Amino acid sequence: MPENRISRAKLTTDIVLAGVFGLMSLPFALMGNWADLVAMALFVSALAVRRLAPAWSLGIAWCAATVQMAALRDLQFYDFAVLGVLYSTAAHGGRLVKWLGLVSAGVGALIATVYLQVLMPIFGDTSGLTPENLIAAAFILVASLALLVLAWTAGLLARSVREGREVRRREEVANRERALVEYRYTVEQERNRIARDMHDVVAHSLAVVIAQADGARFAAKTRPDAASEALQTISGVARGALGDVRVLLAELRHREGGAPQPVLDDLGELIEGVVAAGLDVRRVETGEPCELGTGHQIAVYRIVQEALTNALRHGDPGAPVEVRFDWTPTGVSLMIANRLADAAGGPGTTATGATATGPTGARHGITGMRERAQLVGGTLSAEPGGDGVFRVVASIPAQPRSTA
Amino acid sequence: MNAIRVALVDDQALFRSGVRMLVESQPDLEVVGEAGDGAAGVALAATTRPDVVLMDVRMPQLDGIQATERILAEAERAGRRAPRILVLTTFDLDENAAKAIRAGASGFVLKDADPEFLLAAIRTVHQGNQVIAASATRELFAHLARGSGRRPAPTSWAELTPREREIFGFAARGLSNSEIAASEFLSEATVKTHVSRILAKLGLRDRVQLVVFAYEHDLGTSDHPAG
Repeated sequence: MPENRISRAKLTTDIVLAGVFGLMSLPFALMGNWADLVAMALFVSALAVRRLAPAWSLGIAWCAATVQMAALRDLQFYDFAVLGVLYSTAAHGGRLVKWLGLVSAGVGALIATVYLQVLMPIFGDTSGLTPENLIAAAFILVASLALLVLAWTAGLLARSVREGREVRRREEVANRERALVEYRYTVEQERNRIARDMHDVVAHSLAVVIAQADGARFAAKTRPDAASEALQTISGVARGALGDVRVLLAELRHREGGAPQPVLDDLGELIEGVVAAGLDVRRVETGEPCELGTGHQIAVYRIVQEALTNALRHGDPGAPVEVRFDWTPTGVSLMIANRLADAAGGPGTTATGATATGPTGARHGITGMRERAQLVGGTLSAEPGGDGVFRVVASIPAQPRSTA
Repeated sequence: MNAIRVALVDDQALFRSGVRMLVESQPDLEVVGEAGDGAAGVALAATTRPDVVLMDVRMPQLDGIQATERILAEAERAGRRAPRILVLTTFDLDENAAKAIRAGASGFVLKDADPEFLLAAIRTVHQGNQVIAASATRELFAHLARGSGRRPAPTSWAELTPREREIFGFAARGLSNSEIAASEFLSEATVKTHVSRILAKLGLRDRVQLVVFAYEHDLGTSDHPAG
């Protein structure tokens, strides 16, 4: 059955409009007799429920017309209510009521014509049926048909506009939900990444510290010299881990305040943080920056971040680190270059420490960086050159944020 | 008695050197080699034939799970006695540790475990007469099995005699052969025979897999075995 769940406000509006229509048609009805008043009351009530119950509205309108014709009453102002009723069958009725509305428009026009031009002359007036009446009948048929079908069509139009709006609204809701899911997913990814970093930094270093301390304690009886070597290793590893934890915490703290996902604008702050940690970072940009989607921006940020973290961990702290952005209309090429600590030729123990933890940590980070680049359709390579400089080179294609 | 031959597989050289100092301080233990990743670990196991492999789960190239699988498969193919594999993990509820046990590892030890525990664990898995950290293993599998529900006992369970089921229950709770022998007034050799027959009937490699089997099929771990 028709959709009859409408808001109180709509029902009130319909009743008020029906009342106004009633007041307008009352003077005309009063000029007629009791049948006009009954038909008018029925039409007014049909208008009042046109959205609440379009099927009832149509039925009541037919009753009103029947009363009117049975009493052989002439066309009245209240008959305009039919237009409103037909409009509503198309705009608010269910499938069946909608088509019944169209049928009513056709049949109604025919009946009205026959009634006005054939029956009224025969039973009402004394003049009887004349050829002029028939010509007028044809004219009235076309005119009333056009008018009634027009009302119905207007309803149909209103319906499709409303439904289109509804579809768009649903799409918007769905879009918003999808964006939320994507957001949650990236947040989850971030959390996993931080957990992984924490594990890499803290757990690995502490495992080494524990193993070295235990080993030295047990070996002390047979190899007293092992203890001092182990202590040196322990302090070196712990120091390195503390530095890494600082980086991680700075990253976390940075994230708390600002946007949930870092974008290109956040790069400045990131680089400042690394500079504060003691690295000489030089940022070079060429070309006209093009618009990158959020995912692409995050990828760029993360790659720079990871490369700088690696530089901080494994690089030569004395040498400058170059962060290069080469913008083209099709995307951006990134290059982060830092001198490796080994190449600088540090003291023996720290150098072995760096090589021992270096390859693995770097390898983990590089996989993550490459994944990030590939996820947004880019490429990434990271390897040490023959000159002792480690280069991370990535190319990120431009893809403006799409609304689809 | 010959020293227990231990191989170290971990991607952190400094961790390995610490463990090496610890293991070599023991007269009955001997480090026969170190490897920095899973693939090298497989090769090391093939050339040095260690009795026990200390295996990190997270490694580049080939992780501890796959390395465990390969070492055991290769030993089986070559017809030699497979080494016992002891998995080293950072977390007590590490899914990878559970996978390694499924792959055939004899147990897991946390990287921050007391050195005495690690040394004892090496000796225990070498002897193979007791499972290490039975309750921790159960907890690990209970944690990972969240919501997946326990499976009904397979048909092989019905082949066990009441006596064997009783001993299964003790072994599943982590009791050693001598402990089972003492409480059941049996000789240790009898218990050993029972346990190896149970493992054969259930198609299990190791006692730790018996613990996992008992947990997963909800058998004989909660109370005195029903028999």
